[in-house]
Amino acid sequence: MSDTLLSLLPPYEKCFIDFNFRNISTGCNFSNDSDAYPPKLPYIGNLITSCHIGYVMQESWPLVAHNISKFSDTQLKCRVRNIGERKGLRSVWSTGHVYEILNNNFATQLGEVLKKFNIRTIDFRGDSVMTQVAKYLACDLSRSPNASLPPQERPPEPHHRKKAYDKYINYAKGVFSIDGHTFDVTHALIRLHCTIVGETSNSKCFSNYNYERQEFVYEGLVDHFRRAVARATNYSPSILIFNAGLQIHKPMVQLRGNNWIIEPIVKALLDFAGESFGKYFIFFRETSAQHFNAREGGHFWGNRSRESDPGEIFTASSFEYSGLYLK
Amino acid sequence: MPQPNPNYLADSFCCDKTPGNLQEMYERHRLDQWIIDELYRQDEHWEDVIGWIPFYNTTYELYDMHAERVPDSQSLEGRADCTHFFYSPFMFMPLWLDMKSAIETFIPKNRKNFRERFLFRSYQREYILKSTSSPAVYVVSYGAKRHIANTAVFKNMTLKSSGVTSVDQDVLDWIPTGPELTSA
Repeated sequence: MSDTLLSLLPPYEKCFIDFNFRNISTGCNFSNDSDAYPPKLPYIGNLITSCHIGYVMQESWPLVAHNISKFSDTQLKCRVRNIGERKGLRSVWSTGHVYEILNNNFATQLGEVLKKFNIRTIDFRGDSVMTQVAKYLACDLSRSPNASLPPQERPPEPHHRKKAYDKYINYAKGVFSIDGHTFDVTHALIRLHCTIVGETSNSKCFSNYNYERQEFVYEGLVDHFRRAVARATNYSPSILIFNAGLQIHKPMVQLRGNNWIIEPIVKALLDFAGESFGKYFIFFRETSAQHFNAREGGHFWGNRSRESDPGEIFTASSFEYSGLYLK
Repeated sequence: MPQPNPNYLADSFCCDKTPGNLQEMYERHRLDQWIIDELYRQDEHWEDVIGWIPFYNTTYELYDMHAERVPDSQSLEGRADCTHFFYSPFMFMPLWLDMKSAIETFIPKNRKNFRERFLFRSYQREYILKSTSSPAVYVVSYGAKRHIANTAVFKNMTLKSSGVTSVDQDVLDWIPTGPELTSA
């Protein structure tokens, strides 16, 4: 993203685009294509990468969408999907009260609830989607371009993921505040033991005895959870939001013909939650549908969308904010 | 074992739902369903200690956020990683709404029911607790706390200091007291 383009963007929008990911140990920024905004799709080339729409939603309305493709050397049009097409979203989106929804600033409401319970730390653990969630949480709740979520380690390249689960660490920590109430946000991927197809690093994963594998998974998960909320107190409790869904590869789940891995995951969640004593609160976040949509062949191009020319700035109506795709 | 319809699980935590066909509206991936089934299997009152944040439906229809170059969806080569294309901030509005509702619902419930659930679970496993204001260490099992008389007993029980959980004194105060442990 060029400095020229960034200078054109309002602060809030910039927050999403220019959200710094820094290596804490070196102080250097690094670029993670997967986390870029607008996204870079390395496998697609310029076709989609150049179709960007930014949004502005500060304190005042109306909502403004900005097709910034012009600045990315394309003449392609972008489309914003009609919210009405997304029947899978919360029902509130489809019941005809869209304006009411848009006029509710849910990020602010969430921030108020966190403040109400004096939550100071929010720990996202689990899949890669959490990276996005943590990033947008910091941006959306703070409404500030200054929120930052720098990771401590750069995730290894994809081919490492298959072979070195124990090195697959993508930990980030950010601090932001709302009206003086400071939040720490962390996120980290968790590679559960024995979930990587072809994993050979530990013989326990291929034991004929379920309990050996289960204990291995259980201990690793509980240990990670404990470290995640180590600083939580009763007076300033932490929230830990966990999702294991995407980590569980079917061949490993069904190793030896049974769903052996679910049991230790759930046991770890229950046991860890059971010893919280009000210092932290555990939530399970449902699996993202996106992985599975794609893998199961889901390509849906919609049929009632708004086109915008490169460079066009338009007031988004109630139906024009939920996403975009290339014509 | 009494269970609410898992398809309606989100209702118990949050989420305004349609007055229409909820079954059709609310989908769930099999992985989430496995987790839910196992939660009920291990503890039918798990909702007292673990909150639930819907997300699958939020992302359910976002097919257009995926772009796969190769027709073979099983191939790892050339496939975009589809989890990273949340680039509209508004895409997360449903998640903030659901998080807000789930947190608002769950935390008071957890605080209210936690003690009962903790004592119940102490029949299934034991906990090693100490007060933040005292060196005394207790084993909690079968609904009661038992003071470990000394270090030797602690070691004889093959306990590890890393397994000791520090809690506020008031937590220990509400756990019924059992006889002191003077030997392993």
